[in-house]
Amino acid sequence: MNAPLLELRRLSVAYETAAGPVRALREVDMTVRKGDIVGIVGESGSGKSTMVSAIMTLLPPKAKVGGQLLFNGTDLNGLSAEERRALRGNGIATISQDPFTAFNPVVPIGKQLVEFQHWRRDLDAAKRWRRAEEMLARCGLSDPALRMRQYPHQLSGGMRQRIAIAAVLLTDPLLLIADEPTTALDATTEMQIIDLLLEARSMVDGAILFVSHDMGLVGTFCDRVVVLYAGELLEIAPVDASFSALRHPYSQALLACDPLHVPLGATTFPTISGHVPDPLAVQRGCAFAERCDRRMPDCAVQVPDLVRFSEGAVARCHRLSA
Amino acid sequence: MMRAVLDIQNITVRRRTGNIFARLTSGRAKEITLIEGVSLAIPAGSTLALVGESGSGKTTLAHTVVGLEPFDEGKIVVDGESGEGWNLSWYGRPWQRIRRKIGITFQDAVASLDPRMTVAASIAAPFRIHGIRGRDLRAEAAALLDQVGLARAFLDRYPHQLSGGQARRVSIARAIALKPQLLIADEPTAGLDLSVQGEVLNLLSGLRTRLGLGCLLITHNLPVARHMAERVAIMYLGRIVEAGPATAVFENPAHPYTKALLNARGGSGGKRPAALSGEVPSLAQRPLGCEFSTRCPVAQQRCRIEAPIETTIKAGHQVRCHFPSISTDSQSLWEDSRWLGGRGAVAGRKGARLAVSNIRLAGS
Amino acid sequence: MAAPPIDTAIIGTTPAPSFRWPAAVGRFLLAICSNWSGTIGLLLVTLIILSAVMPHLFAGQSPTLLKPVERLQTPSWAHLLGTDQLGRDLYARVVYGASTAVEIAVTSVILAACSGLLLGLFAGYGPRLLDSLLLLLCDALVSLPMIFCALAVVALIGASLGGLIMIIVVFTMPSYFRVVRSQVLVLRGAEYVKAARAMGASPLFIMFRHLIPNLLGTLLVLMAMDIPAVIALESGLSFLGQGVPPPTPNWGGILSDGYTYIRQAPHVIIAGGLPIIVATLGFTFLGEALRDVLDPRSASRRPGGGRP
Repeated sequence: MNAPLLELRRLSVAYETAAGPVRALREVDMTVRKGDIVGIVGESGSGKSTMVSAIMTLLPPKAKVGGQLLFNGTDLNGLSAEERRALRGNGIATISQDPFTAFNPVVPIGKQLVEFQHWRRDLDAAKRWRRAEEMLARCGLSDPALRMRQYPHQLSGGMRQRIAIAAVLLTDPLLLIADEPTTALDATTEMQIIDLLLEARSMVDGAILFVSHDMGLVGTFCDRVVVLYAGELLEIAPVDASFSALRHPYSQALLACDPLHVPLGATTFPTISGHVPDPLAVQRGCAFAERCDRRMPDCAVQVPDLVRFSEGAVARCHRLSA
Repeated sequence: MMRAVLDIQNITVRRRTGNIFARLTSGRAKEITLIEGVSLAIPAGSTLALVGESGSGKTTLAHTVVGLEPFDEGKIVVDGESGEGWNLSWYGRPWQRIRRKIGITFQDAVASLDPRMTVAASIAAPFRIHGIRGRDLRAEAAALLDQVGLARAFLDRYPHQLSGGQARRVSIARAIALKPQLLIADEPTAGLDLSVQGEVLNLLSGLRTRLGLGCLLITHNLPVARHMAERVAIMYLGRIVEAGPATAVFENPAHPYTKALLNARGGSGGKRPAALSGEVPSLAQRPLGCEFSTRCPVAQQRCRIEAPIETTIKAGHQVRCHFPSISTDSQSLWEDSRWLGGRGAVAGRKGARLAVSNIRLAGS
Repeated sequence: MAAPPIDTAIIGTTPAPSFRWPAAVGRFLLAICSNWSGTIGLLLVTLIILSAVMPHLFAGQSPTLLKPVERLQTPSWAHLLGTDQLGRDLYARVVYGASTAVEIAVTSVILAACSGLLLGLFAGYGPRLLDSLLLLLCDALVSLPMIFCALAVVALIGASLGGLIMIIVVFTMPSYFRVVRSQVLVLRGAEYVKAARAMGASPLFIMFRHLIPNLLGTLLVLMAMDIPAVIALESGLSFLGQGVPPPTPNWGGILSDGYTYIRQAPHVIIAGGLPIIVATLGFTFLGEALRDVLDPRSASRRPGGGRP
């Protein structure tokens, strides 16, 4: 067992608004070790983007952060702006949903890729250029020499995402965050990018966080899944393609909602009735209680504890703690 | 054969590119073909799913049907009526009667509602547009909201106060306001959370049976198409490459592109065939011969020269390919693919689990 | 994540209050006064309009009464802003000047906005050729030096209120035209306009139901902010002696007089400049408040719930 690379300890994020505090993230505990590939799943309002921003220390200044966020042993919450910037450079890297915004539209790709390596003082410009070109080739881009001279708008969405991945890999990140990297892509291109990410797993000497709303993709790509709901961590479970280890009713319901898993001949699609609780409301009981079809009287009044089943398998549900 | 509520005959849509100066300086008018020779028919009360990736022209086709986009060749017949000059995407009396028979919902439901109009005003707009007077429009709007499962209190809301699912319902209510015969639903689940997608789809299928609507469902989500539609048409680069009954197309896909699409969602590390190489070519550089030849895993010399014509492989199942696979071994491909839980309807839920478990990652 | 937790069944919100004019106007004014700049703007504009409509309420003396004995007096209780070179009470002239200023500014801004709106709608929503033509025309108009044209027109037809308004309308119209045109070009591609067209809406329906309501906010703000500019413009022309013919009291005229006597009696130029500054501030503040209030997204924004 190696030391944790990223550790969230009762991490909370709240925003102060005119109508009261909005608790975007509530006391989330999570541990990511070197070599882990963790999927983060949640619907809108689940707090997954808040969590990503928190890890990248990109939360707006008005956000109130509680708890600890340990990366490689240092608490990111206590860092100065200067230290944070240094860390973002070569510790944590992200691939975003829309890679177009990651590049400067008026600078050729090659020049930008060279600039991404500014922290490698041991390399001169020519070496950096060669390294970038090799990385493009490794990321499956045809004619890397040409791509290096092109501008972002001359490339298709799939190519841009490949280059974004190459750029991220060039920085040798310890933690790679892929935030919905295929949402903007077509089905056939999506699979190419997933294939590339599967290859990239071996090139990353650290951990990958894969944020997605698509359980199916998480099943293909990750070892573990973290299920968030209304800012609360409901479950962490090891995943394989069958998702047999998912215990929480919400995780199971979410999985069932995917049209992919709806049995043929079914006349209606399964849904989760009701709505995500109002983020302004004071929480009493389980966040999912209102919509849960297996709720018990306790669920509405008492917040369930996180039950630990084994290393890397926890769930927050009264049914499971009984 | 039931009467077709929508009959698209050999529609071609071209568009000139560049402004007038570019056209003058380059000396020739550049034209791109958005849709080429598309024919479709939707019998009354049945659903056709139009499936394709972005840029395949499925939204353009929908816009052509409602007259937002002019077409260059072919004919569109709606419920037996085809206005001469329907081609003009402009306003005029003869076409109003046809337009009343079509309801359409757009991809981005929130954006398709005027931000300055209340829900009531948006839903009542079709009545105003068609000059239907002497009705209590607010009551009509309330009744329509009721049909789509929203409470009356929504009447005075503005679009920005609606969630994605609610906006979707409002746009459906507006589409069915004039009791159309045909409903065009463009990506009805785009941008919705999984737990809400089902609600919208259930609403659509409920309305379809209740109102006897013919439905043109535009989607890139194959499982949705499979569940909702009787017939499926697969589009690629402005052409329909395969069309047929849903079961036939999904269980015995004949076109290599259809197969690739089916595989894409059934992605599994080791067993999955390699993902398609390359990306959809740009419309301005349409490949010679078969559109798909640049990415096709089984393309031959002939495919790059000669465009395939539509052939019927079984009753109602057409494909546009020189080398369609009509063999029965496509059944095994179907079973490998996870996206519908394999093994057809019989296995049901357990089947889904089983098939899904087949695709453990090779590396993990 | 602004998804309000509401659906099909029960909704906790009270039904929207039914639309009644007094209540609606009250809500509107209240919304404008929700911040200090809006309040100040409304106050100043009300003051200006009131003095334009009922100047006798504010000023007891006649603005045109000549008292050569009392010429160029500094401010005193008898003459709050002093007197000018002909012994006229400057305070009365400033108050009565409001009606000239408002008359010219409001009339010309409304005319300019309406013509700009009309032409902009045609250009933005109509055929492309018309668009190119109108755009060319407006560009040509903007390239003309306004002051020279104004002087030329005055020389041709003589100084008159109507001529002045016409000049101002012709030269401010292009800015409205451009704003409207570019907005229409954006709006015509909006999904809701496409939706209306798909339902069979006529171009007129789309213009009146969708385009104009969505343009009106921008236009009103533009108008409110343009009024001080037009007042300044009119003052400028009067300052050059090409504006409102004397003896009608107007702010630019006072300014022009003050310029002549700036060494002996600096208070005159201050009396002329003060109302222009007040009007500029008032209308600008009001314009900004209007912009915020007229957007339904800001009027009924739900507190919180927004994703950062």
